[in-house]
Amino acid sequence: MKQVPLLSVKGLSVEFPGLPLQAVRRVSFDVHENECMGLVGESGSGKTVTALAILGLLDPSARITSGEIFFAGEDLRTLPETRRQKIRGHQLAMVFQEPLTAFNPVLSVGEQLSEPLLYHRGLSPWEARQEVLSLLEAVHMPRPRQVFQAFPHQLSGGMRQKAMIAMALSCKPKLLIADEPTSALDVTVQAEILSLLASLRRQFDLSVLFISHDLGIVSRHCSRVAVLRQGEIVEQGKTQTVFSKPRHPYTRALLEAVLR
Amino acid sequence: MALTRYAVKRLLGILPLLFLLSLLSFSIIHLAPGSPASTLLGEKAFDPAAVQALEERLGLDQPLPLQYLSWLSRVLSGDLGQSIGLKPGYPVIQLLGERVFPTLALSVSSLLLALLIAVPLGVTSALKPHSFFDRFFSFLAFAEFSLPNFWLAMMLILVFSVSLNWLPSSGMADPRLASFSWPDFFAHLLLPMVVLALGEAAALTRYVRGSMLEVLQQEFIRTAKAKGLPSHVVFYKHALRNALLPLLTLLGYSIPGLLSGAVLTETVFGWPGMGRLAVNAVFSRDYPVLMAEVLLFGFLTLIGNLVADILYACADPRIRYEQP
Amino acid sequence: MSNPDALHYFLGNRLAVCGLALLCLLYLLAGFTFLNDALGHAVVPDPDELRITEKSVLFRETSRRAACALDGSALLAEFPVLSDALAVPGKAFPLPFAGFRLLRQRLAAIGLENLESVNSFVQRFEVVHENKVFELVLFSSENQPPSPTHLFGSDEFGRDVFARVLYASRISLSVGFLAVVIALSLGVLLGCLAGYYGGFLDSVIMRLADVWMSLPGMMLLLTFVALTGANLASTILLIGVLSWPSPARLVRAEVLSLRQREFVEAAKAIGCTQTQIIFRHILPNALAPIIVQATLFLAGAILLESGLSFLGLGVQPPTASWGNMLSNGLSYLRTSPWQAFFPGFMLFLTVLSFNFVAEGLREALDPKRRRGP
Repeated sequence: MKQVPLLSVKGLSVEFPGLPLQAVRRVSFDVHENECMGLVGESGSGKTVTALAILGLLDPSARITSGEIFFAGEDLRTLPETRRQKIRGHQLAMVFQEPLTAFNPVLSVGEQLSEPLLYHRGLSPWEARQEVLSLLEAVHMPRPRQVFQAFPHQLSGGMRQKAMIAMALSCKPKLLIADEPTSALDVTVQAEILSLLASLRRQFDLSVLFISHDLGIVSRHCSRVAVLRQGEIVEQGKTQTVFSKPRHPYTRALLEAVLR
Repeated sequence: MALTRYAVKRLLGILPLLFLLSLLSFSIIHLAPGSPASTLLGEKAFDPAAVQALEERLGLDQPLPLQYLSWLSRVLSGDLGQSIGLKPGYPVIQLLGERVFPTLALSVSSLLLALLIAVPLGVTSALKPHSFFDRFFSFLAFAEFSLPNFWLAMMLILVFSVSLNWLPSSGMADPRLASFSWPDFFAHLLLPMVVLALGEAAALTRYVRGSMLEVLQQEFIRTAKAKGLPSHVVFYKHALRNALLPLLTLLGYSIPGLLSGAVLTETVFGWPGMGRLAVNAVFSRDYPVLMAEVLLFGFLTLIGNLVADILYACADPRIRYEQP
Repeated sequence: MSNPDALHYFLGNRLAVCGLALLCLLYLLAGFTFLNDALGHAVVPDPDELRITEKSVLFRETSRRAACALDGSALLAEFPVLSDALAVPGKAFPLPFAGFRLLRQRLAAIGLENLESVNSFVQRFEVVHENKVFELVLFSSENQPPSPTHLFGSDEFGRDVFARVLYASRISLSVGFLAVVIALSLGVLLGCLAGYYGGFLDSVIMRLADVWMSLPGMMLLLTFVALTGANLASTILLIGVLSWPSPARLVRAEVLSLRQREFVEAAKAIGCTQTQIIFRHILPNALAPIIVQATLFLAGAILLESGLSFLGLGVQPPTASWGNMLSNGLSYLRTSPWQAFFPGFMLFLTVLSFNFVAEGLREALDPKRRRGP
């Protein structure tokens, strides 16, 4: 019995004015509950555009020319913006690649982490603060109280990414989209963040859409994977199957490049 | 603390500029035609006894560096000399003192009005770039840059003072009134303030719009939206605060422009401020007053820059809490 | 680097084209004034000449006594020139009242050959008060509102305002142009030196530029005028010298970025001298932003000159400059506002046109700045 997938993208196409080729072309994939799905491809393949399209955060000049995006039964494309705002950060969250620029430099870390709690769950500032501190502990952040008062530029790269993860998980979302969460970090910190994500997934019953160009990471952490090339999905399926017996020549080429 | 270190560093950086400024001011009297003594004495310049007395008092027979030092010490103790053309014998510092309040009142109020106009306009323009609203006000701002503010002042006087007779056309107070009255003062302040404010608002609006547009492109705005924050929170709490931050520095650096613009406006409106004093001093070749004005203008400019930079450093946590 | 695409984009910008058209018209009119001079003011009247027409006599005094008391000896004492004209036949007078022999003849022609007739004549006519200045205006062409004879009206001396505005454009345009030339020469030279040679020279020049830009410009101008007197040459020189840092910075940035490029290496390999490299290879590429800045600066220089003349510290009367016309107009704002309106409006249009053209150039030459959807 196949359960209804948590996220179902069907035939999504996105184009930008002035560019001849569509950035995303008829992309379809599903993410089920409690699974980690990988979205791999080289830079420019449309991974981030897909993620932003799901969240409804595309640049105003971009146009979604076709497709449906079902999340927990609702087509995100047809929803009014107010409803989408309620879903974002609450049931559907995103973690970005470069944590330094993803944070507002003039507001404290604590204040930014509290915001989803204040607006989605209606907590008071004091309650939010307690919740944020426990979240920081959950992501193994050293000195949570100091971090709460600090500003983004005062934290190290790894700490910032942990903070961003904490912020994304604050309202206990069902799906977390992680767009190259470790690409900007040192290798040692990468491992820490990845294991953190894995344990949080189990702890919070979370699904993750893991976007990356690093096949190694995806093969280790994701149960299913979709391969993107120039906006099209060329292959998708169980990670083990796709990586051990790739059917599409592009997938093969990607794997060969990694192995070399 | 990083902030004090920054403030001290900036303060020290200003010192050489202050020195240069003082040299500039000091050199004025020596560049004037004739000897300093004869210039300062005016009609009595042909009386050798008076010349000698003056030379001894001001040390004009000493080598230049010593003269500079004695001049500097006089200036620092508040003695800016006496006026020679405008009000002979009158202490310059008093003359300046009378003019500071009018210029300050005009500058500060026009700046506030400019902000009041520019920030909402700039922000609204940035919200809907290239809309009719945006293009209309951008065009207006553009036209305002080209508008000579003294002509605008005269046209406004023509409309509001001459034709409609709603507002007075010159001066700071009605000479018929026995004592100072605030409503009268504001009636006189209104037109000059508007003229100056319009000029500043044009530049400020474009700046606010540009800054806002730039901030709206930043990554953290995307994060804020991804958190599902309501649009007004994203806009005002996140975008606006970041966009207005550089405005602080801009305000400080616009002080020289403000003071220069005030010169022309004060002349049109007969406003008794420092700008008009400077112009009158030029006509009367009143060098002590000019020297003092140069000092004051330069000093205000430098201090303005300094205060703006420090305020910015206070407001921007990236500078206030520097990485150890 | 001009390319056909840039030209096409510029021509598509309606405001820039309008501005350019207006400026061409202005330059044509300014040039026409030279022709007019050569033709002995056949088309447009001489703007500086104080017009004493057959029917006008102009007295100017700063007290009311002469009109009210009409004391014969007092009147003669106040107006020694008039008494000379009436009493001393054939005496010539220096400029600008060059026509006083004529004046005497004309006074006689209208029946004012002696003092009594002047008195009674004066009594019958309009006395206009302007603060402490009053003028007796008799049958005059002074202070006429705009009409077919005087397109922009006439000023207090009967001079045609349109003629003066036209001749003033010569001043403003040439001041602007010359000041730009000075600023650019200095700025481009220093910027090239700083960018190309780098090192100590660069830091010295840049520090100097920083200090220069933080100087209170208006104060410097005022001080300079106080020391050297107000005239056209010093105005131009000063405005130009005051503004070298901006073009210098621009040129330096361009030189720095272009210095590394391959074609410079290639040129060096061929054996070009350093000056050749600078002038033949680097400058042409830096030309575009310099042109834009120069146009903007022209507009600013014109405004600055007008401001100075307005304060009385630039071009001196009787030479017409929009600035000093405005200054004069301020005194007559209540009675003959056209004196203030037209010069200022022309000034506004000129500066606006320059700014439109500059903006059009900027967008045409720098694709990044083009306004898109």
